[in-house]
Amino acid sequence: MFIFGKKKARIAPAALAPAPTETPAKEETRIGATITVRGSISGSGAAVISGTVNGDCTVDKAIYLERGGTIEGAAKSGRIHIRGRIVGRVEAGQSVDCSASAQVEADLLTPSLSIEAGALVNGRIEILPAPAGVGHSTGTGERGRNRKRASRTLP
Amino acid sequence: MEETTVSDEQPEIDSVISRGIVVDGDIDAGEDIRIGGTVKGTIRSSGYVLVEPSAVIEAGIQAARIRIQGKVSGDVEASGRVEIDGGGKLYGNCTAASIRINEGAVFEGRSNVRRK
Repeated sequence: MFIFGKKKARIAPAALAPAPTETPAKEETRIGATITVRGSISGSGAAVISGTVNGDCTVDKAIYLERGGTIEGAAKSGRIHIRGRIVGRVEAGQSVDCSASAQVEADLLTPSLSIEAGALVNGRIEILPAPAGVGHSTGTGERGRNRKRASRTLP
Repeated sequence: MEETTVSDEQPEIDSVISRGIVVDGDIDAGEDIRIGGTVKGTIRSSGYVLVEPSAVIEAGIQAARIRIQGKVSGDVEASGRVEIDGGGKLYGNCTAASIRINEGAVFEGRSNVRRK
């Protein structure tokens, strides 16, 4: 009988699952502030852009358009984080978030969008149907996701 | 001021075109840059350009210093040193203040050493 057991803070393993972070992972492509790319960037991985890209940027994982960075063209990726300036088109497979310093003169096509107060966004916004396997969350956080998984039947 | 000793220390380079990325166009950098992917266009830098083993550059490079460990098909020009490591391949001319070609390197082109 454990009546007088010392209460230790127990963290359930599920809660330790890393939340998707905002910081880029290792070996992403980084375009520094003094760099200008006159042409398109495409490929796998993530791109962190602090400089200028006069062309399209299509990478499969994520694009981090940093403050001071500029894309003059289309940005197409999974997750797109906009803190800089984009003139063109934004197409995300998973999410777009625009921080307060974002300047977006582009149409935004994404299943999930967040725009911080202060962001300049001029363009058409189209919220796409959620990609397969990820539901628009009905609940908050993990419980919402788990609830959805429990009732989902595999095709 | 060009050092004549072996400069093997790799400075921490912030800008990277990682492998798996293709840049279809020119790159103008006001800083050091490291390339692991494919660039179909000229690379210009006021600093150091490192062409990593996985890189393929289909055009020229102009920089202060250049180190080639991958494949470059184009002319390279440096105000300082150009170094081609074993495994590096340069198909093109090379103009620099000093050129260092390490064992195993491939160099097919004209070398032009000029000191200002």
